[in-house]
Amino acid sequence: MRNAFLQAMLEGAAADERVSLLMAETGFSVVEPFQQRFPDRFYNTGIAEQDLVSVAAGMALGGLRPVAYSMSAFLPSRGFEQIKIDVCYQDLPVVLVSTGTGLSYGNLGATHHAAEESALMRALPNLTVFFPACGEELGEMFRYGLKSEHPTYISMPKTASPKLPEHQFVPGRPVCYRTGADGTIFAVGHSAAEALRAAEQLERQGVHMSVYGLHTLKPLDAGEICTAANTGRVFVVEEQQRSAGVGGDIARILLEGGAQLKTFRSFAVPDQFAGPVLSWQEQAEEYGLSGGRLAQSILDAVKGTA
Amino acid sequence: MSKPAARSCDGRQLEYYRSLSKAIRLDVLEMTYRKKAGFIGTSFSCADVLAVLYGGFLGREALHPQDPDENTFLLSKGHGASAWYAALANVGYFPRERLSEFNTSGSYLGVHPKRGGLPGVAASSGSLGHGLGLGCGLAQAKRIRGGAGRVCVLLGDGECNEGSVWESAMFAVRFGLSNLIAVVDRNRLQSYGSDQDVLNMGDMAVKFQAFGWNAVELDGHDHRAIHAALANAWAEKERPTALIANTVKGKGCSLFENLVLWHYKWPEEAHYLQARKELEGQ
Repeated sequence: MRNAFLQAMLEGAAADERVSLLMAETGFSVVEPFQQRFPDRFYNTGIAEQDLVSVAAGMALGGLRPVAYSMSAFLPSRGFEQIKIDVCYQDLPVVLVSTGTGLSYGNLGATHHAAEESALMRALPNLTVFFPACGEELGEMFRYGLKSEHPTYISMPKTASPKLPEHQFVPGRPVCYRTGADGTIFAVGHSAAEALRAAEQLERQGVHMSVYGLHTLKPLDAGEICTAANTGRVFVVEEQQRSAGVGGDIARILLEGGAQLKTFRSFAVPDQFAGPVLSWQEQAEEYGLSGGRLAQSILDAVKGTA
Repeated sequence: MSKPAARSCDGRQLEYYRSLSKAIRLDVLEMTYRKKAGFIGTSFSCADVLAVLYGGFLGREALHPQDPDENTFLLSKGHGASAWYAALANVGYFPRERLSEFNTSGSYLGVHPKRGGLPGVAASSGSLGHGLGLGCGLAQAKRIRGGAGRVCVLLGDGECNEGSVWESAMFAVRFGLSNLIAVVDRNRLQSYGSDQDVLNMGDMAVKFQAFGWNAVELDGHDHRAIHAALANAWAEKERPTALIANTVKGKGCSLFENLVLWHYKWPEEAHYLQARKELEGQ
């Protein structure tokens, strides 16, 4: 994913001389080619996320197109008020990019997890919030953000970009990966890969699932969500705290839209911090977010409501 | 355009600064008394700095922060908004009558400033510790784009309790932002107690110097001293400048001076009448 970010950054800076990259000491072995090619448009603010965001906002105030890059565990929480006031309240064209969303820093522990990121960023007016499922989407989001007159937030996982079925990126619109009549999975960001794995396994067991990727968390496409939920069984998968993710929002959208559901389940991170050392995959497995565990839970729910 | 000012000011200029200071304080008094809102202590303590800054350095032309050649002012201590509005009105950014819109439902002359709400209000503020970082980014942008504009940020001394101020202080020196000027309104009185009782910021010029700034202390109510310090800051070529302006919170009316109460309180009729009398006699 981070290579996709670097490529998009290089292209963006080559195409528009107003584009600058700021980072808060995050980006070792990723951003160096940018620094080499555009030394006068590269700024390391040091380990100082508040300043990172304020300086980016100031640059945007001065007519530049800054990109502020840091880790998902730090950028939205340590820089929260600066994102709220300096960037969003003033509605400035800053692109905020974070790496390591959800639990993707795995064994580094709870200090490096960002399972509340979605709630923090979705709470801010004027901000478009993207969680890419793959590197291709990340590149598209980045291009969108650099052209926008408003602030953009892009959160990517630390993990490698998965191979997903080819699809078109339309900002705001869920990606329909596959359709099936037995239920609908809405998968946020990089959870799309696990959701697709679950759907393939279920297919072999005779359960036909629709899978939609949600890369745009704000604004959410209420119309498309209601239409896609017509299978009557809805499952939301996201690597965020249950109370922080879009599961509750989707339930509200469906209730307001008068959807008649047989099942609604939210698969997310439970209300707890990471305990013992676990890798990202082990953590996903424990919380029921791996493809295999999702398939089992969905199978039980479908059978129970047949 | 960035206007170079002479190092010293003549008697006529001084007289103009004095009249501007008086007008700012009288307008702040009207706003806080009539609209029962705003922060009179902090607005009075920075009135002289604003008078010299707008009267001698920014003029009526600090309107477009995105113009690299224009100077820009940012009020980081957003609770001093009434003084900023009064300064802008008195040098001609908008008609003075508009000050009556202060804290009026539907208007954009808020208790804290909002970007785009008024000509000359370049950035929003109200939460402390944001302005210096914004100023760093803006000063950097002006320089990258080859402009000669300066960025001047007014901070409170209590505001410098915020760690974010010092993150930005490090950035400004690292990137050699000689076009950035921070003025600290050193009134030594915060919203709960005296600076000494809270964190005791001590010698703030030494603190900024230790971070690598060109930092000087001055009397923040002496127009001649403010003018000279700003002229030097404008001419600085290497480092960002911090002007530690020693002031008195509530300066201008004996009732308000040096009392935490007047951080919050709005004048009632008796206070208003006495303050008017004292200010008009200056």
